[in-house]
Amino acid sequence: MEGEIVVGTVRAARNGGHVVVRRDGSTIDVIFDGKASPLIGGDVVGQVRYGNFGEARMTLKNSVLDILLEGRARVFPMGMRPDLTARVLAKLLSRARSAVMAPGAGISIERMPVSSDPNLAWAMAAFQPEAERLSIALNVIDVQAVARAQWQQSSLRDLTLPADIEGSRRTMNDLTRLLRSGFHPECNRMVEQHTGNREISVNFVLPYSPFTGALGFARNVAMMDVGTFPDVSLTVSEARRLSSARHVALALAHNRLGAGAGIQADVEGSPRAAHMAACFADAAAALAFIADGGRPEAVAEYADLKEASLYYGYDMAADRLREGVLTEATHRAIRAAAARTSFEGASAKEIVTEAVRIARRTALPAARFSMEERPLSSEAASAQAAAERVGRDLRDASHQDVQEMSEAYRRDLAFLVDEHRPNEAASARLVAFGAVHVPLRMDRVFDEETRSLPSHREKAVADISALVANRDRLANRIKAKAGRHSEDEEIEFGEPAMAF
Amino acid sequence: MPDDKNTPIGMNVAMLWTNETDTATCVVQMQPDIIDLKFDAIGQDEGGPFLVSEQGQVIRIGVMDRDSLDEALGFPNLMLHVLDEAGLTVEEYAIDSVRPENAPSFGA
Repeated sequence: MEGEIVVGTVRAARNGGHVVVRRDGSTIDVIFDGKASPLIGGDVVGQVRYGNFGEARMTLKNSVLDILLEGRARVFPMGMRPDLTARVLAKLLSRARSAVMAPGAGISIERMPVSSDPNLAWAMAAFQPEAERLSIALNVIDVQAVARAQWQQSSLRDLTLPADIEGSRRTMNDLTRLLRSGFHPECNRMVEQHTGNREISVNFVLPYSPFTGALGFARNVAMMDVGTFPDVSLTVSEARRLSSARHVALALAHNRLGAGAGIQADVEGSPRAAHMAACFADAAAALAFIADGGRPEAVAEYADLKEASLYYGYDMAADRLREGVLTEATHRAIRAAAARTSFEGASAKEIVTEAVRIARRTALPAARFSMEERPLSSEAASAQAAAERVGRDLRDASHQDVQEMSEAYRRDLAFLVDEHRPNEAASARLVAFGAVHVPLRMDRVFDEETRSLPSHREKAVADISALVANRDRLANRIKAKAGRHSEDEEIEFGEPAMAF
Repeated sequence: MPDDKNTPIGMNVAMLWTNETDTATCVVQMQPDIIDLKFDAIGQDEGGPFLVSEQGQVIRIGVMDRDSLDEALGFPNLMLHVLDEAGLTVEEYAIDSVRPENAPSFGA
């Protein structure tokens, strides 16, 4: 925490400053920053920092809570009505700056202005100035902390409370679903009817999955199944930066893609609107990555992966693209962003403004979303070419090729194993989530690499197996994913993690 | 100690904020009939946390984490941040803590 909080009464003017008497009777000589000149006898709240010559400079604030909202703080949500606590906490945080949320000790929430995760901190630093200019409070979840935490129903509820202004279970259910499915990254929004207007705000941002490395990220982006191996040079850090930047930028989309100043865009209102938001977010992520000196090859691969999703995301049996594939086909926006030369050192505002232009210029036309969702012939050819650049078929690969790819997978997995090894809960989750993402013919590599983890590996795998064997529950989950009502909505917390 | 039979529960919601310095803030949302009361002290006993008004009236806050509140009661700067029913800030003021050693002096 920078500076000392002083709560007291101004008692006198002395040597060009003022004497403030604290509540315990001690005094401090301060110089008030800015044009503030409180009356003698007035009560003040402020933050004191010491200048170059040791002088105490006090910045006045309206309340202590305002000071707490700016720094690192612990919040203990209490009371008998969690829904009301959620609403109030959300209101308080809506006037705060962006922050990273993580589960703290006991039932507390840690709220930090800056993340200790370098990739997340980078993504937030890239867009935080613009978020503050737009008055958007980003509640970004510290996924590394959540991965290490022993979360249960109450802690999950508390973690989502800061943003769950709806006072409903939707946000908690959304977060639970994401955490159970391997922490899939997401930008979760809510829409509230406010005096006849639809007010959109961001509930939380889950920036990346701590259990997927660069290859898992590539597979998710390209919609590859485990029978295809992502042939990319992305590093884990690059993958996390792109993912974090994309999802933080997505939180700005509703404000920046509106028809005019102060008009919000309902970015989830239609597939085309969601596509436009995705184009904006990916372009902004690519621009931020390049502006910070990131490898252009990584951005080019990201674009190829997105385009390849039109190939891998095609359901041959149904003769249509899988849900959400067309919406996420943002390769044209990413390539347009990558083509922007001399963008190094650009400000957050320049990046976001350029991303809006790129999204409007490169997004698929609205008419494309009214057609049947299958790749056009021109799209199919280039998607197949992109797929050949970034994917290798494991089913028909020779033994030597599989060995070669196994080494790449081993390196990727070793990074995750080293990262999660110090924590038993995180290790167990890596084993649980990783087990269902192992590429075809590479089970042995996974077993070898995770054998040394200090986790309840046997129990985790047994739990997963039991869950998969329970066909009723599996069916319910599929129904739930398809948006149909099922008893899975009543799901209990704390059951084994599972990915679908 | 507050008499639970006669002690109104006047808060909808409460939460506690602490930071790395010596300051804690108890944020409470109050119902209109008690929002004008000024409170002198906050404490907890076996019945849970409570506030004591200038007139000596005791109001139960509701459920609070005992250890967290006990830790906060030891902070030199303890504030009460009052919200109205709409969640808007009404006022914030300093408040004393009722620690276990002086708790008996605040009878209901």
